Amino acid sequence: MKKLPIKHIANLANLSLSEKELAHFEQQLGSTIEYMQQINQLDTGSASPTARVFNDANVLREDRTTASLTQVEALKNASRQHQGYFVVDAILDKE
Amino acid sequence: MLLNTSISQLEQSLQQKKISSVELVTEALSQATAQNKTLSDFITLREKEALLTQASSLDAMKKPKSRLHGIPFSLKDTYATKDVLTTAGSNVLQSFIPPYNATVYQKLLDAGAILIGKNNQDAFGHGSSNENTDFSPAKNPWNTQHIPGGSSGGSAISIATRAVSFAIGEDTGGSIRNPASMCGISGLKVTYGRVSRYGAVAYASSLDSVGPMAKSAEDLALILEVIAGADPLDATTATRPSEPYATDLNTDMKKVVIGNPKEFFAEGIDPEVKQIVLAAAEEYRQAGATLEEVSIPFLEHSIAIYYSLAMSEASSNLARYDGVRYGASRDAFTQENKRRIMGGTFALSSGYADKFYKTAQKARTVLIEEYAKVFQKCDVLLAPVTPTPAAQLGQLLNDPLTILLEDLYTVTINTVGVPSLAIPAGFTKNKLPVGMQLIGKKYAERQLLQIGHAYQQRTDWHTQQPPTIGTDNDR
Repeated sequence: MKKLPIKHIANLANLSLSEKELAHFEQQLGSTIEYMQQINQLDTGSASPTARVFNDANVLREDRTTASLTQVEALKNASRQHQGYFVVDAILDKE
Repeated sequence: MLLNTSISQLEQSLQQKKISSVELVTEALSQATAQNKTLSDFITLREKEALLTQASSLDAMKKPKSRLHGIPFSLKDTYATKDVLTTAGSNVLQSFIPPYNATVYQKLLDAGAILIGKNNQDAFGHGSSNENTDFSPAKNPWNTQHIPGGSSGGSAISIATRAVSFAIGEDTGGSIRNPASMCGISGLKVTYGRVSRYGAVAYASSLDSVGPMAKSAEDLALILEVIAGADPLDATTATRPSEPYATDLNTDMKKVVIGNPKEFFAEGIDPEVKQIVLAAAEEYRQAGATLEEVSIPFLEHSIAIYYSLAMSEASSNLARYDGVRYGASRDAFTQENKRRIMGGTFALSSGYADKFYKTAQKARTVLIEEYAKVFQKCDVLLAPVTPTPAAQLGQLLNDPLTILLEDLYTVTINTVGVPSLAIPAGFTKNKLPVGMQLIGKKYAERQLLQIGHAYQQRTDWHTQQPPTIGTDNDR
């Protein structure tokens, strides 16, 4: 298998890793993924993919308001908040 | 000690006022506090005063709320408990105080059961040794140099040492059955959707199942009666009604056909484990059951299939931990968490999703068909839970692939969505417990519990206690 694009994967996974960690994971994840590649040798015939093992579908409930968390409760565990809102880092440039 | 007796015996003694719930929680908390220093089975223990207040108000009631009224239990720390710390064994959630209750906890509260504390586990359920926790690694009560199994390791320890009467674990690829087997207790992985997942910290949503852990099949049946059923807060709970699991546990073994899936006894299994599980099959034969050899050919690929799916779902589920609404930043994930998140991210990434995720989904269909085929020939399957007895501490940590291979016998059950009951089947010559699993058809929990009960009527493995708590030194 080709060299694992570990930096790209870490980036997609939103994990910031040190160079040392990147090297470590490249080796460890590489061997795990190499093992997992055996599924490409399997003869799955005409089997269609299974995403879920649950038979009920489209479980709906009546469209009415039910009890939910208060604003205070919802914000209780937030590390940063401002006037009753969660604070997040800006994702757009100022310009 | 009071907690060495079955739930139905406790229920009877409580009703006849021979014992009180105050006495039970006092004993539970004292045992839990004492052993936690050595075994690290709890991340959080509730305050004595709050427990005693709750217990005395339950003692004062004229009518019991349920058969679990006044009985002390613990929860794997993966279940949201309002105003009680819920960490999932991870530093990411080291100060997370949930504002709501998981459905399974709410049901037990409504039933009058008393939460003693929250059990240690591998962080986010990633692991089968309880060493991948951000708290102290939990220890096997039968030999503290060994792992208790995982990821619901703390819960299995608390039951084995009689610090609680029962616990609720969570099983995505073996996390209830593996520690149950390694600590010598009973645990039930239910049919997918039989028990609500609402308020459970998600690992892999198409595989996660919530289930009871206790000393015996009989106790498990009582607990399942309380926790099973549809939940408007979890759209994947089955609308099919639950059953009176504990009503009649007797079954005629002469009418039962037990399948021995040969791939579960093939190369790689420890000889002692093999001999113990085959002896259990022989016990069933003597009880009148018919044994039949069957085959699940795809078992040898099950780790690759399962982890392609589980890591993919984990990477998606754990994307929610961004440190904004709750929890610490993503740097706080353990090495094992990061490995699984990245494995899943890779398996779902552009150019690889068809090769890994989609192929695994097709192979999942083949596994479902293979199980359906063997269940035409037999009622249940009898198999080992893990290839080896509990490993020594640290033995698995440096080899991520070996950690995954330990799950060989448990992961297909989650992939297929059927139930499996793990019960004690014997001991190695070094006195480490070994369990077996009885695997059933979808929604066959009652039948599994009956067949497990039949074995526990004929054997006493499930009544044995680890030496560290030593109430019976003459054993």
